[in-house]
Amino acid sequence: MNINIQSNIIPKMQMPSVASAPSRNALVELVLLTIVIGLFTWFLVLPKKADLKIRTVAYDEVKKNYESIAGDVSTLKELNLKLENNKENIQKLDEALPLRERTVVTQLLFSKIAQTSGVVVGDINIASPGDEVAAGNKELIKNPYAPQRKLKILPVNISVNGTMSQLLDLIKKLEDYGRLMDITSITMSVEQENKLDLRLNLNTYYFPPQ
Amino acid sequence: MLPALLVKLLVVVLVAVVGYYGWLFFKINRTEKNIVNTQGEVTRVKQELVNVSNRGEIYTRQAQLMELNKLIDSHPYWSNVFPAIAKVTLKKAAYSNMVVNNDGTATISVTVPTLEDVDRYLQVFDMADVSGNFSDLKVGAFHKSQEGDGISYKFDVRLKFNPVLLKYNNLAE
Repeated sequence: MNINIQSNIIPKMQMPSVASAPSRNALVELVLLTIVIGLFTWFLVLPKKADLKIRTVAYDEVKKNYESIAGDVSTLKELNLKLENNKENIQKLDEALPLRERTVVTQLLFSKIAQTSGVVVGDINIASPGDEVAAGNKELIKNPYAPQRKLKILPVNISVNGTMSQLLDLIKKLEDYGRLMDITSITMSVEQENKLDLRLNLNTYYFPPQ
Repeated sequence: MLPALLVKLLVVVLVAVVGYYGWLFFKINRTEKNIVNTQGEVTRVKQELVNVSNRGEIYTRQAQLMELNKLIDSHPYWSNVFPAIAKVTLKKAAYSNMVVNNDGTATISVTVPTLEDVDRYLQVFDMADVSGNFSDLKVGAFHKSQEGDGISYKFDVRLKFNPVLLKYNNLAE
């Protein structure tokens, strides 16, 4: 049996147009990609970037701290080397400004200076350093450089008798001596022909533990 | 055609963003590692700092030296003052008593043979080149005294001297 199908009976299939479908897909892809990029950037990239910035700042600080301490170590090592190579200068430093005061030593020192000038010593009066431990400080013996120190003034009064040139020589010796002494006042009076009395008030210093 | 091209472009952008994210990830890890390493170094150098021998002595010497330098800056040189006083003193004048203080004041007992010499003695201090170092001279009461065959006049003088004279290398001219 022959069936004749009329071509007009079959409904025409509605096929999408070749030109419009890819274009629509592309638009969808465009939108999706934009959203993905936006979300990725907003939720992942930007926080990560901020995190990197924070860590970079932290690293810079740690690095700066390291460089500073390393610099200190290097300076200390240099200073230590200088300290070991300058024992003579350290002795002079200790003579000029002792780290501890022994009144007896200071008394002997003034007597020696006065004698070398040829004057006759009347009196050398050194103020008491108060309740400082003069010897046998256990902490200081254990670690002589650990404590904090503070400059202290030790007032001294000297009375001598001699000729003008001897007295001037004494003053010159005191001002140039290795132990630092600052004369604060000078009283000179004629005792007899060519003989003068001299009274000196002076300050000498030391640098003991606080 | 244009949307397809834009899609390709966005794909490239996405790849670049992902790449950038990967780089950030890598960079953060590396920075973190650097922080840990540097902190380790900090601990090491801190320990080294504590272990530097003579550290206590170095600090003490530094402080001692600083104090000494300050003291040396203000150290008075009295031997500059006496030649300066002698230079402005009349040859006929004699000093029997002298008190000089480091604040720049002096009291001197002067003896001269005549009253004219008292005036001459004072005139010296009116000279411009002298008043730079010695000024504000005040004279106390005169005493006429007999010493042996001669007569002399004694008086006390209070004056100010330039404290710069006490500084090193400032010798009076």
